[in-house]
Amino acid sequence: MHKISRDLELEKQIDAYVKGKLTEKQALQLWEKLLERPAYIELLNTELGLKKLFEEQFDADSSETDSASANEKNIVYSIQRYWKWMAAAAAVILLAVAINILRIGTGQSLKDATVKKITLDENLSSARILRSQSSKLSTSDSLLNVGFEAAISGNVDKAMATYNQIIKNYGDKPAAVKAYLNKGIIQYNDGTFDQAILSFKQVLDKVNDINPILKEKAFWYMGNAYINTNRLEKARSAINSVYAMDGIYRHSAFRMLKKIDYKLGDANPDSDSLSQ
Amino acid sequence: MDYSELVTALKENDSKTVNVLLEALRPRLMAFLRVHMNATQTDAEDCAQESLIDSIESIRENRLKDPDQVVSYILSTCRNNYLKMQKKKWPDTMDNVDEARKQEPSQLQSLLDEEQMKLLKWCLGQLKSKYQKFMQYWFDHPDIHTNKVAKHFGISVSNAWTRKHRLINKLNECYQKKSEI
Repeated sequence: MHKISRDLELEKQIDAYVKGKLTEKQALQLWEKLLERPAYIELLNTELGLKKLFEEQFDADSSETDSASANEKNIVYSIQRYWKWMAAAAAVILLAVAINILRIGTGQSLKDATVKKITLDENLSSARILRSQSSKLSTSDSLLNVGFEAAISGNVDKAMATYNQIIKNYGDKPAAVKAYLNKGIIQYNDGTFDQAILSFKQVLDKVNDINPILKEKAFWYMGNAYINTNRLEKARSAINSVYAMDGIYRHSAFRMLKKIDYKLGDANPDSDSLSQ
Repeated sequence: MDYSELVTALKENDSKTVNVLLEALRPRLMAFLRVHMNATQTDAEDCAQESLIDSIESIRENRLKDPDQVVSYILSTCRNNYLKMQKKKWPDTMDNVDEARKQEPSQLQSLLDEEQMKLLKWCLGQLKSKYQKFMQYWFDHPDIHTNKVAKHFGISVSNAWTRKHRLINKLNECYQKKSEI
């Protein structure tokens, strides 16, 4: 299905439907139209999938933040609930609360907050597929796809060899930048963070501004790799670049920066010096 | 597709046209049952089939007054059959379901399986950054008017709708193409 004749009214109704703004009666009227426009049923289905994706992403982000602050909230709640008793022993309790908060803030290792494993099928860069496939893929792009297939099939050695081949033979092509990123991702997952950092640096050296996603990913994973090698100043710089790019990792970068700053002693993790 | 033809075809015993129309309708009714009524695949198949048979009988018995209302009629039949089917299965819990559905918007079920969701996510990652941000903004702010989305991205309202449509269309094509591999 490449192009369907558009019906803007129907699109608006679908949008309202997905957002839960239609009554049952309106929804049934919409479905009457959809039965006659099946191409729009497919689009509705895709839209529902996207909604789910963004909701899952939001939930994952929230639960990460929530779990970190849940204990602190509980403490505050307890203090509010039993304030009379607390007043009687204010000095002692405040001291206990202060210790608790301190323990929560520093008890969780910063490394625990980093990306554990980078999901290969979602993050490895391959040849673009959204444009017309009428023109033949270049050799370097074909190799990217070979590497992708090898990596997601678990043949990491073959994937690495393929990426190295791209870098060696097609160093001036855009595929080489992707190959460096993919190499870095595999090295990161392997725990060889220093090597991963070198690969991500190559991405940043070679990437152009028309591909901000590659740049953002390189900064983000490089920042995570720096944390795993205890180089927090460098991690901060890399993750601050992610934050400044205002892209898909902005929220994660925001939270990570607060944690790094706290660890570096520059700010309270609850402070809001960065505006989100 | 003009479903009022179904009424004519049934009355004229034009089984070829009837079959074509029913084959086209069945998967669409199933989509309705799965997305809107949250039916399982098996229930959707059974219910769509049963509803089509019921509707054909009604049309043949001239119980449908206005042929232009045939889609509405089949959809209602389908919905009612599904609710009856569920009530049979869960007599205690289904009493208030229909009423509740009228009060609140339904929780819609996405039909994409785990693999398709992964592909869709991958496809989303292939979009240019500014388009990813556009989609994220659209879905992260369900309560704001399209005017504000358009303003946020410095485009006209009409372009905002067009951009959304084109992106959904692209993503749809992308994950379906990938699913076929």
